Amino acid sequence: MKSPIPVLMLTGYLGAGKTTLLNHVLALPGIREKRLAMIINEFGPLGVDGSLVNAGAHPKYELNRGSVFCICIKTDFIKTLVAIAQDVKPDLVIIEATGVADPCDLGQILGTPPLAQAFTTWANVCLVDAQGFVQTAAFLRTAARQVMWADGLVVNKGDRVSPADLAVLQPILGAINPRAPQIVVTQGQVPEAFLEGLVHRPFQAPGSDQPQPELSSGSVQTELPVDRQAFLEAVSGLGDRLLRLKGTVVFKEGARFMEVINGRVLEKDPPGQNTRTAFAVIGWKISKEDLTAAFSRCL
Amino acid sequence: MKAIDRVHAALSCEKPDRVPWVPFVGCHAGALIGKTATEFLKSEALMVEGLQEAIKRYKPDGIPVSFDLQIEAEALGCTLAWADENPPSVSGHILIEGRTLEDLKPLDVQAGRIPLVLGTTRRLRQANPDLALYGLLTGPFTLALHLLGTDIFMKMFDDPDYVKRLMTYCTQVGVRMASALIDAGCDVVAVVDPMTSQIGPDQFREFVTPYMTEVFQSVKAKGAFSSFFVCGHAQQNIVAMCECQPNNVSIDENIPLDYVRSVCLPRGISFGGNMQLTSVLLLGSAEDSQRNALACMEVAGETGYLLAPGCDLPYGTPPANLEAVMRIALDPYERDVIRAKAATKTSADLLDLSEYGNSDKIIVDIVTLDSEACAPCQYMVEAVRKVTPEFEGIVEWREHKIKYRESLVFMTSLMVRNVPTICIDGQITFVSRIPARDELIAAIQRRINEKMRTKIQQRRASIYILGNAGADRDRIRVNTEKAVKELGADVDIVEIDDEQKIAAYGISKVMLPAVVLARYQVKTTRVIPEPAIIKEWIKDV
Repeated sequence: MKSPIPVLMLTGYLGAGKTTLLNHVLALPGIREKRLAMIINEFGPLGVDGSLVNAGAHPKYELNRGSVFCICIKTDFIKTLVAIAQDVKPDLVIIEATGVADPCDLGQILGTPPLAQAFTTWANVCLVDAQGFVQTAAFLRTAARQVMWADGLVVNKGDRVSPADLAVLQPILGAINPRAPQIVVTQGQVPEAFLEGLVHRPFQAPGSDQPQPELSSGSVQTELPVDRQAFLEAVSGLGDRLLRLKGTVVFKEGARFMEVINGRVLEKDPPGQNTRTAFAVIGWKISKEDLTAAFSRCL
Repeated sequence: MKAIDRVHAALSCEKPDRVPWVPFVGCHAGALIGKTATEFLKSEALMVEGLQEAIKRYKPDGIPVSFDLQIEAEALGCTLAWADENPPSVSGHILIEGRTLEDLKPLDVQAGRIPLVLGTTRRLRQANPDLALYGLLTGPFTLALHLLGTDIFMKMFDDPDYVKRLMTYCTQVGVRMASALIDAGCDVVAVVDPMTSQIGPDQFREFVTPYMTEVFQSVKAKGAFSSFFVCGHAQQNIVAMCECQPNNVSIDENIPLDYVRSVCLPRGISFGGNMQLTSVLLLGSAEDSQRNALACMEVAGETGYLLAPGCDLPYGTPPANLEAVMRIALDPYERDVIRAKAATKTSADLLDLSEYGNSDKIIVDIVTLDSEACAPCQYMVEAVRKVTPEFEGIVEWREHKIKYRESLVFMTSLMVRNVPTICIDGQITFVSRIPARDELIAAIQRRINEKMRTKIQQRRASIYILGNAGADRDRIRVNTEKAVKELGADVDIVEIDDEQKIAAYGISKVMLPAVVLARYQVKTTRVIPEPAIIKEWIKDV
């Protein structure tokens, strides 16, 4: 019986740099010599990712119906994999999955009868945008679930954040997925050895009804003036548990646009005329209720 | 009970006369009339023709008029990419292509393909006054994603007010679309918002609940029923979905049905869906589909549940699978059959019938649902009953009604998968087809000929010469040897002088010398025959 075809899966939120990473991976010596097939999908402008991927002889299959693992596109995905197994018989299949793909479905799909004998998962690599992960994951559950399911985490855009920000982000990623090794890169330049060292481990994730892995978000709105000192004390009091804050705060002395990034407080003139306070917050290891309640004393 | 009343009863969380069946026929209806999804979804005439075909074949209680979540986005100016076997997808998001939220006008129900959908609705309503018609509209959150793309997730933090203004606009679109669908003849409005599965309940309550609630209230105000369709991993949001106060929540196979039931029913909200689209309805067999449908119905119960797939049916779904589900929905007898089959899945229940059919007679078994209740079964039984007298007692027939457990065990043991089926001496011969008289006679005759050949090959005989050694016994042996030789027969000659053995043949001393001819036939080797089989042999004797 023929050996199953390995599948390398790339996940990550839109804008994390998956296409750049894919182009880099395709150029790696150990990958370049293989016969490849690629499945490319993105929820967004049709075919953009596909057209950016380096030209080459690799058969490419584009799926464009929302999430690659949304049940609605499962049919196309299975048909594509069956066609690859029958017609292409490659050495490796690379799947660039949409940013809104829930990776827990990959094992389920690869386990369906027509595919179970033909494919095996090499590794599930999740690309994390060092700049935008926290904001995204707090709202888009899938971003955190992609990290949770990964066999390896590539933290991209490492040059765009400070070492202090990385020092906050990496423990968060480690808490969401303690099994996956992490590597910080720029421009998707992941070393081949990192990919070769990855081992796929079947993972039983918590159900989708379970709470997010300790990331929370909320918003605070009020028509009343805010006490600046109390506001800053609330920020300070939350400490590491407040990852981000962004929005307009109308202090007694006037409106300001406030931003807090990992404890650093920035402020500037607000855009337009603002007469009410409205800001969003993202917390770590704190409930939405406690997070928003922390600001109640300054209102 | 009319189909539409059955659907309305279930949507009202009441117990209808049976669970309503609502196949989500989208572009699959195009496949039914040999048209691509693109051809189908762009033509009112083809949509009506395809959906009428689906109604004829699947006998639904309710059916969606259109399952295309791009209708409103297209009408608002988004570009679409079309496919042969899928609905189109949104390929250009107008709010990241230069237009602003303030530029967007209220939905014009004369724009894009909306008139086509409304025209199809009117014609279907006229042709099917007793059928529930589902009008589908794109949920506000999914429409917001169509307009803005996935930037919406970043904006939920960066500019939540903008997201809320966008949601308000999308809600107005939904309310307008719902109103148009109801006016055209839809009695149920399904708000399909699959992208809400991507967010958690906190974000749902902040960015979805107020807007969805408004859409559902507008549907209620117009006297129609509402349903909240979601797909994907959305279990975390089921409670929040119920808080939006739809009449119904419909989910796909990613969410356990018992969980949805436990959340919805106490809140007075009906529920539906959960049938497995790809692995069963598309790739499985008719029986797999029936088992899945029955499993859903048994978990859901009879109150407030609508049997439906989890999303729109794949274009290439085998119609036989959906017809099989239809029979499960409509016919309690089919449900009993599938239930009974499930109960006899263990190998311990199966009979070893490998030697079945070795009796002298030809046994014709007819496996049926019940010839008194099922027309094809009745005709098949009639066909067999009429020809068996021609064989003057050589052929015996029996009907096995699989509503009885022993018959089902027999059916499974013979590996019969369809009913009605005719087996001749345990061999599956006619499956779901009533044979013509001559065809049936020929099939039986072939079996008789085959059996005769085997019998001649298998039969052996012995001649026992009983008596003390001496001249008389010797002469008998010589004559017997001569006769066997001249006939060329395969007969053993055995001389017996043991008094007890002679007595066992019922021969006394005064009757000696005696000759006994014994025929024997190999019936089985290296197997333990079932009593039913041994009985057939004994009857031959």
